[in-house]
Amino acid sequence: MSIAVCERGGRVSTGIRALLLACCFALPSPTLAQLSSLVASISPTEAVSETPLTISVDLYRGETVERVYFLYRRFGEGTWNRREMDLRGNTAFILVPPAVVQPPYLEYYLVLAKRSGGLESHPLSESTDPLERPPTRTLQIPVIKREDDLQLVFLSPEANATYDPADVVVSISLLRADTMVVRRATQIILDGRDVSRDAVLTGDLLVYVPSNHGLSLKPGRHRVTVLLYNRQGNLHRQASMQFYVASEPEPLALPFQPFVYTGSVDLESRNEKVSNIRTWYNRGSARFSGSQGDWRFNANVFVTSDELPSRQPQNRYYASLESQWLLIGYGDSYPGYPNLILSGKRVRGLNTSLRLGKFNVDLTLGQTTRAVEGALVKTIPVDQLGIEQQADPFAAYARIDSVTWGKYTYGTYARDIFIVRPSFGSGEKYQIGFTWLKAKDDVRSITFGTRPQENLVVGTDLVSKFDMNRIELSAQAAFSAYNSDISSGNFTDAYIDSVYKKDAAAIKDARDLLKNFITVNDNLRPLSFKKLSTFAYDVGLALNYFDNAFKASYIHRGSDYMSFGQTFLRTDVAGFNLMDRLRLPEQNMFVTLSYERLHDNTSKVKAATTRFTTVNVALTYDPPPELPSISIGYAHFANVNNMTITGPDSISAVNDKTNRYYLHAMQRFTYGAHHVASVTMATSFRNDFTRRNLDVKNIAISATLNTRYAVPLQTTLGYTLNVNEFPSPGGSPRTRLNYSTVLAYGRYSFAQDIAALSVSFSPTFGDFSRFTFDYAAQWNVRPNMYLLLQYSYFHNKGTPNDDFWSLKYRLEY
Amino acid sequence: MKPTRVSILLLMSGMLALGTAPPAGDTAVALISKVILDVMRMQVGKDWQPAQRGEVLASGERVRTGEKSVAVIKFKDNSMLRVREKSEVMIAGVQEGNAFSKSAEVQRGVIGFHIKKQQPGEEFRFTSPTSVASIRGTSGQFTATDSTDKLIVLEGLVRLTNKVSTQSVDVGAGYTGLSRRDGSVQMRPSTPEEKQAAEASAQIAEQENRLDIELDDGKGNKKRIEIKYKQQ
Repeated sequence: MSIAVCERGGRVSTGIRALLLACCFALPSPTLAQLSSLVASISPTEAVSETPLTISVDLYRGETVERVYFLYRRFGEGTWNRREMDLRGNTAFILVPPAVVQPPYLEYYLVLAKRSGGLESHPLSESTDPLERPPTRTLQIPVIKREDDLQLVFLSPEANATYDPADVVVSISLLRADTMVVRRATQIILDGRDVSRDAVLTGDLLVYVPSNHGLSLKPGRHRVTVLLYNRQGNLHRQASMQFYVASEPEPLALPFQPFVYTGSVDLESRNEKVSNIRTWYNRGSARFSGSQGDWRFNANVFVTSDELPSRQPQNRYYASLESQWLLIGYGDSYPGYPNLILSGKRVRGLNTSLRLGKFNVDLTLGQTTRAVEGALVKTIPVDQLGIEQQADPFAAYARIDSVTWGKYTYGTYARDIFIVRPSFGSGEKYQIGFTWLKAKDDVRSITFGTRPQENLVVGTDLVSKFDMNRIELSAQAAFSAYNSDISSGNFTDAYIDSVYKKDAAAIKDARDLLKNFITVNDNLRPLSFKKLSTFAYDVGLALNYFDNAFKASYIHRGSDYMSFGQTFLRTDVAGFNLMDRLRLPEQNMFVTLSYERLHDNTSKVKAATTRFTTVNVALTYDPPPELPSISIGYAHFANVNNMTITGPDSISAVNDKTNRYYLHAMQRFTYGAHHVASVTMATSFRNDFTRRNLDVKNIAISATLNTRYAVPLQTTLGYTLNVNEFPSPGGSPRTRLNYSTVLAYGRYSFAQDIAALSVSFSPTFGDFSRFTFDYAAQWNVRPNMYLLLQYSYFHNKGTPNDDFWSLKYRLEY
Repeated sequence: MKPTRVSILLLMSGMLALGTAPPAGDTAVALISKVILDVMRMQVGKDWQPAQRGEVLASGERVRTGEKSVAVIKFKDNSMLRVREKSEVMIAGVQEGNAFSKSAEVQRGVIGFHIKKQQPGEEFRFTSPTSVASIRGTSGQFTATDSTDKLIVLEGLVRLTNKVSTQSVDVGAGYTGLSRRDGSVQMRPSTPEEKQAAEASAQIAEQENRLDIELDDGKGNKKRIEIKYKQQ
């Protein structure tokens, strides 16, 4: 379970990281400094640049949460990007694409949509709509450069080296891998083929010699990918290495490749008491992966007792057959397309990809939401129907029998989506793609629904790389058409003649043409092509020279742009972003600078244009181990429009500035045991110069000491102080929320980690008071199997106490 | 006992029985990542046997090379030794917590090295009957003969100690340390030849070097010649 210092840590020396992560990934303990009643932990606490990052969030009461949103931005970006996480029982996942994972850190926060209807952010926000107004304090995942990551080290082959076919040895050292990494679960993928079964694990060394297994590598480029998994079965690290084989090998026939497979099974039974109500939950998941020759088969399934027809799917399943050039999958997946069009959206259905290099096609066909019928909330005698309809005219009513009517909530239509993207070029040097997305609500899928919608998006994207990839040019553009209510169907001739008398003929021609693609009526956008309000594009240029990584980008997103595959995209914004990451190896320093300037009102229909300016500076000093590593950062956010802050227009005025300072220091030392001490301080001050005076102050200071003793005992002692001041609703005096949290955590393992016990206490004092206690016992029955019994107790002030216990079983094979 | 409980117990027993036996203990400290011609290894308590690339070395094992032969040894922290011809070395490694300390006892011959930056509590030591060199992250070459040990440092700083006299000298980049059987230790600037030899020994890359030459006979006929060579 994570603790505050892990969440907010800057770049630290790798040795310190290993020990710290070991402590952070230990058995469950409560999050430090967080008031959220729902988030138990977030992992990982560190990321490696330009590699896919899977973030998992463990929840205390997952059944009370309907959706989890992950809001993030890269260092230097002012705009928050939003994606929905894949919620499976008590855990929510998201895969962050490599392009987003950039040093020095990834900033993020979570928003949890509760089944009861409310929103809760993590960390907590002073705003009732944290999706639009982020909390004052956010979280950070430190991102280290790939070459600084020692958890997974390639001993052989060496990057871009050339070998004789018979000399190729794949060897990986897991010397610095986290203690939670299951070494024997490590996967080695050579040219897309899973060769893990033939690899030999000796201690921390994993060795695979292709020729020992009759595999003769062809001349040319080869790629080996290694994946590390933790005890929860989640991907912990991933790294790839490219090498070359020189001369033509002896013409050997490829030997028969046996079918090899791996898999895992997870079972959980959980009992929770929340607000004096006890509930049982049972969940299970299974994963299977097999390969033969160049083909791989993957399948996973997750089933939960939370699955109800009145909710969006909670169960998940997926199966795919894939090779280096073909992928065919069916089930729940998150297909990747240009992010203006489809990104981070779960689609249940067919997902295919053909990759021939010079020509490729990606195609997805399925549903993003399933039909959920409206619920009967009330039965009404027929003689009282009129009264009820007058009292609530917006509800849905339907006849049940001759004397009774029903009042219903509106349900959710099934939303069908089709997306196809032909592209040319492999992407290593260049690629150009063309995307077509069509999505439509199925009006026949439910009886009680309102405002079914339809969407069409066409787009193109380009990436081109020069000078050994040191120059990269990227661009994408998309145009959308969106109909917000198709229940009335297309315009009729009679309607056009009566409403659009002047342009009736032209509108009929346009309708006849466009209705083949999208429903044409008054609810269709764009209304005209003059302002291109449904047009969006991004352009970027990256230069990598002299230990400098510079990137300039420009974005434009029209005010009416809409894609059902990317419903969280910020629209009505345009501007540029400049970012430079400078490495000073002689001084052990790493400097990052960025400047962003955006504005809204792209269609020029608002009374005022607001400009959003963001400046970021971060410095990381990573000295020799005898000295502490230090990260300091400063961020400035300014939002201003041209309305005066006094007078009649002042209610629309925007004029606020936020300054954030950040300091993180960490030192490892030995005094009777191995220790890692860290101190983090983060402040945020927002000054609102308008009449609303929405000033916010936040100061958070935390100190943590992680200790590993000669005996198999790990402990964590932590203290966090939070000082907050923010506006109160309704203009009442400002709210102060000051509190401090203490964490004491210990984990003791027995018999070479065959069993482990952990206990944590975490009281919170001050304006918020709570006491949490966690106990966990893990029995590693076999290297590939464990049982985990966990109990948590929450002593709440003013509300009933809560607790839960769970029993988990995991088997890998 | 109720049937339900019996079923649960049976199910649990079945699930627990699905596991496999635990693996053997951890003694691996390094890997032979490259073998050219005559390379032998000697496991503790066994005789010399031909070494194969990809073999794992445990603490206390020896590696020796014959004429015009080379072995490349990679430690778990990616520190590299290039055992040049007619050389013999014993490697050792000790892991305490996260700290992995290792050593190479050079019996005879020439060893090129590229030692990764060491973590707190770690070190790499070269030893010979005459000398000890403590390294925290550097590259160079160590040569042990009957009369004199020679240490050429390309990067970083190495403390060279004579075992007979216990005298020490810090050898910096571009310098050569000499430790003699009579107990004396001295340091002098490396000669160009010494630097060149150390650079060749300490090169990180294991790959073969190749030259591609395109020949034109003046009539538009072209031929390509590929020359592969290995640095010894």
